[in-house]
Amino acid sequence: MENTYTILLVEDDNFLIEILVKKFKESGYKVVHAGNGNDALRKVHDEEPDLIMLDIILPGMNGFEVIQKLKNDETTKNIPVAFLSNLGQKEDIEKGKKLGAVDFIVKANHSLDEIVKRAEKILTDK
Amino acid sequence: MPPQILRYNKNRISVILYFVKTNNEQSQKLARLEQDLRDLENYMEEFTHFLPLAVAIVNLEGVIIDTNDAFASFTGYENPSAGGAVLHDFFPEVDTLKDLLASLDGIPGGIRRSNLTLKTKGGTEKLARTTLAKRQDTSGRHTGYFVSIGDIGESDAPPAPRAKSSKKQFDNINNQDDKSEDLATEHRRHTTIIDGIRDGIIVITSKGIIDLLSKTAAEMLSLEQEAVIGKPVRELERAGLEPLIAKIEGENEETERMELADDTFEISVRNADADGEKYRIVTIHDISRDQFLEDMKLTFVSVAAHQIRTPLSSIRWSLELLVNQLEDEEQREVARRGYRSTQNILEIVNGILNLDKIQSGQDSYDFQSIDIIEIINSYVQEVQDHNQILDQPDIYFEQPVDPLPKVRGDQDKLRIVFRNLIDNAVKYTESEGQIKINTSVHVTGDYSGDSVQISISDTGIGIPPTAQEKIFSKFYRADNARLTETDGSGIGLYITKQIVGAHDGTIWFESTENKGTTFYIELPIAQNQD
Repeated sequence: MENTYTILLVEDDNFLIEILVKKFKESGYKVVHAGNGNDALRKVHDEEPDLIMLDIILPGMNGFEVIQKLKNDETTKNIPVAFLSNLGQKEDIEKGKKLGAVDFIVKANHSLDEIVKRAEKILTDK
Repeated sequence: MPPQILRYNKNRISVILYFVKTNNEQSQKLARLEQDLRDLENYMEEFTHFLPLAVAIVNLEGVIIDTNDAFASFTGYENPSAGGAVLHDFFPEVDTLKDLLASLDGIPGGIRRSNLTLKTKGGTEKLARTTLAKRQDTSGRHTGYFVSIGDIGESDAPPAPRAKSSKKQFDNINNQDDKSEDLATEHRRHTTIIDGIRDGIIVITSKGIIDLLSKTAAEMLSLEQEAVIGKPVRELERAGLEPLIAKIEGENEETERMELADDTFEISVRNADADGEKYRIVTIHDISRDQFLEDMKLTFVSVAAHQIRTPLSSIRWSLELLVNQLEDEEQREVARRGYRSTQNILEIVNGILNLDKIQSGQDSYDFQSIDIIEIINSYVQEVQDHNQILDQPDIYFEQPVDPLPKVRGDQDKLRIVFRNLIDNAVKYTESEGQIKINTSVHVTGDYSGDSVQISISDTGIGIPPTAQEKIFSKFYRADNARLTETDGSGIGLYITKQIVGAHDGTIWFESTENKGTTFYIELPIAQNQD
């Protein structure tokens, strides 16, 4: 499947980044990755991604703070954000949605295929 | 209640406490209970030993198990219960004693009084007023006897005529002094106990006067004991405790949560009757500590879940990539097995987290009008996605022709139910087998009684007849299930049943070993179909 969508992956675990980048590239996406919140905010402006997949537990600023910054910025507030995290308590999920995330994916509960499908769905629904 | 029995209960609680360490709130409550029992035990021990009446506790064979100080001084032995002494050692009229004990069965309340000859240490015999009572355990089983003895000269003497001589009067005054001293000691004891209880206690008389306000209650409500005891309840108005006054004066006996003096408390009010006098007893339970523990627990669970899931994600995804990349079928199979095991661990982790929440009743239900079809579809889709990686049985969901009415349910909880049932069907069915899901509507005529029925059938290993009765029990796994899938926690169906029950629904199954199983769930439809 070929498309021109760019996904910004915010994740600090190198091994997970490697796997996810590989999978998304195989599925025809352009992938940019950021290892922390500040890096992510910078790359959002440089790369103008179509979708941001955001981890919550990150060095420095956490994912909830990152999404707040993104939603408060006129130039980035319309980019869909999906949380991709291993936090999965009801409270976390509700908080994520309230801050404006379009999806909340618990990493361990889904296969790579499912994650790609969820991303695809967000991009086509956009 | 004799100290022994208290001790037994307390030990039992300690044992329970040891086993329930996992649940903070419960162990907290039990610890409190244990402390209360320990206080009570000490109190009873002091009380029995201090009791002027000589008492012995005897087992069914007549062996003396325990005695108090008064019994020792009455009989002259230092430790009458040592060395396996029996009742007959003290009462030479063996036959009379036997008859008396035997006759206890026929007497309501099981108590008899009689004057018996008592042999004391020096060998001298004296007549003693003896009371015999049956000892029973909580289930009513006869476990032995209580024996109390008193001096006959004292208690059977005719009541002293109103004293005229100054000597008699003097004696009486002395007696009264003794009594008031006893009462004062008693009072001090009670006050110490009541002040030692972690919940605050207030006692109100029928005239609305504050009769007692424990130290804990005073601290909780920022009151001074001296300032309010003996005053009308209305006095509490000054401390801004109007909701508490309303509760005390109201008729409602249900426990109620309220904010008082900047903290959250659970207040319950009960009526009590003592010697014809009516009292209102108020207990105040501070829940901010419970809340704190609860918050700690949630944080812990959330952190633990995250820490376990992170490495599992790496393992799961790398195996998934391997399954897709490896060309050698044997190697692919190894990777597949690894992938499946990772999934099993995740299920167990998630199951235990759910169990903890559901069992402790802290996970409240949020009932809405729910579309069951959407829930089933999304999970069936997930399972079908896995079919591309794993060899699994095919799964069919027969969509209803007409839209299904919505059920009254909690979305997240029902997801757990269908996830558990579908996962089980997949796990215990060979890859050549089949899983079918059907839905139907059951109309009872009475609108509120209508329900939606969902069935999940597989062609799997089935549930052996011997296991069918226990299949919904916590941690239970049937033998054939254990052989097919060595991993598994045995909590899925337990949780499922709990959740269906909380929805006022029913769950049952039909199963034939080696042929397959069908689980049925019936859930009441929602009153609001929007």
